[in-house]
Amino acid sequence: MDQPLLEINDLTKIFGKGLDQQKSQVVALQHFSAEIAGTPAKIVTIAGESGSGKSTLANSILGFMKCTFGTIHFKGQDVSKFTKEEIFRYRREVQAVFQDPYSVYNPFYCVGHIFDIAFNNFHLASNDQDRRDLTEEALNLVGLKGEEVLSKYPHQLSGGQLQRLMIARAYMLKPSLIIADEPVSMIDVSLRAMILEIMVKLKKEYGISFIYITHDFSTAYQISDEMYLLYHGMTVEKGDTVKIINNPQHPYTKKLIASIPTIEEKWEGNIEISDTSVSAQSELLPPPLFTEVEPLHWAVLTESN
Amino acid sequence: MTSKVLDVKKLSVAYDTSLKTIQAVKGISFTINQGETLGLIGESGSGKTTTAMAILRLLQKPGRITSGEVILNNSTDLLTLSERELRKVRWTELALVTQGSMNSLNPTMRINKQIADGILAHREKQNRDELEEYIGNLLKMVGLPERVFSQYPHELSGGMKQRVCIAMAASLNPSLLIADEPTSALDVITQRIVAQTLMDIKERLNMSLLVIGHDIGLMAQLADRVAVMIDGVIVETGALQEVLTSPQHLYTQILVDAMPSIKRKKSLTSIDEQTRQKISKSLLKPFEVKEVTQGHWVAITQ
Repeated sequence: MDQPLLEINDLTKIFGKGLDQQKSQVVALQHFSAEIAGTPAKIVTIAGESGSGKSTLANSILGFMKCTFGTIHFKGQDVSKFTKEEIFRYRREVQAVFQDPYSVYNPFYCVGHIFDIAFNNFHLASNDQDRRDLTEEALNLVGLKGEEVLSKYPHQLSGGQLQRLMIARAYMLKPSLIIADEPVSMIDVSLRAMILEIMVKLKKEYGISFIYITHDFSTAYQISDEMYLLYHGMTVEKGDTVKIINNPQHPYTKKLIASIPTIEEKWEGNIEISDTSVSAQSELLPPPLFTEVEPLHWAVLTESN
Repeated sequence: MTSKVLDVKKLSVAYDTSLKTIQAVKGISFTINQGETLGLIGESGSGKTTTAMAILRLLQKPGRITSGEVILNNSTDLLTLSERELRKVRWTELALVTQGSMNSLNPTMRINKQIADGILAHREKQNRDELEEYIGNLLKMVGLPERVFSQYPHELSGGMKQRVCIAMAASLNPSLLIADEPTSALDVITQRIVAQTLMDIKERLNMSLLVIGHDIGLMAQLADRVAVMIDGVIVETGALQEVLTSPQHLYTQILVDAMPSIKRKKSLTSIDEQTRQKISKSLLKPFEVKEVTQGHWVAITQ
């Protein structure tokens, strides 16, 4: 078998007490293990509600924060032991698209500025003509035209357009993996599909894998191949997206899927209101034990099953 | 015949800027019947919140109502009331819950005190024990445990705070509750619980509900009838099932097709710039509104 593109092993992040011993610790992510294959490219969903550890995971992979323990291997190499040059290469191969397209652009510059930075950082083109060609190619891919958008300021464009520009910029660097952290949750419904389609196209035609971080199961269902479901930092179900959504096993997954409003049918009855205020996970639990429910579908089964 | 709780007639709202006047709401009309839930669907910038604020006369400057009538309970035109008369109607006849309602709770006040505040502002002095019992019942009605009564907002989760706000809104038994994106900032399970609470309290108090939002899935759960809004215009209204299964206006069709589902895989469509502009352009010209089937109205635009 081919070496996986990204291999995450037992990744755990504990936000500590620091000097204040009175404060309780928060276990944001625990014992997260995953393998993301590079060939063929896959869209892997990390799903969960707020506080489940999704963004902690994204930030760890992107190297924005150090984990308490656990390892991330990129193409077989330990990310934490990278040399300066390797970090530079990793930064190019792993790109990110964030939730809020309005806040990633500097309002004082035209949006074309983010392309200039990319060119300067990574020396992508030797002359201006190459620059223009590369930019134009990337923009066409996301359905935009250079002369229409590049010299605009961020406030003159819609959220959907800004987000597509971000994807075009990421594509231009020819990455092998894009971390998309809630890329469509701030985009209007009628424009969402366009962004999702671009993701699918990049996967199919250009072999770029995605880690798609979301709380929206319906879009995950439409585009992703595999899914990891997080609950309080712990993986409770993983495997084939369609299988998990059609046949959820963990009580939390069941409740979650039953709560998604669809246009096809009305909610059945009422769900029980649990009388708990949100409390963060403060204890490190033993690693989850997965049971294979069906081929390509694993879940942590609790006693109530 | 069912009585109309709210009858909005040709309501227009404009925002004045230094360069030009922007028409945010362009002469829209709709009604809400007694006990009915109307879902007002629209994307960002469609004018849905502006509509709600105009109905409540809570528009902030530079927004102003340029024309129209908003008739409550077949009698009063809200737009002609003086501030003083308006005060009497607010909260007793019309109540509001918004996405950010939960953040408007006073952090230094216990929940019971905050709810009592609203009640006392509109009603005469009441017996303390009775008032406390009444508030306790309200909290029970929205499914909150007794301890919430004397807790502070920071001790509650977002969903619980939002339910406190629903209890507050219902405290004077209004005839119409306007819920503007009531669950948008909440997680999926919490969203369902809050939505459930809304439906439940509406049934119990026999209120009417105007729900505003962009999530058609959620609308499909809550509304009896829906109105689809874009560029300050309502392009389609009708019974929920009817609009979802046979949308007539191009924009409604796109919205319904763009809605991802967990029931079946489908190729999602989205609106491209040309189509969006074409729709906007077509809405600038005067258009007719046609009744396709009974109660299902569509704007005929070219």
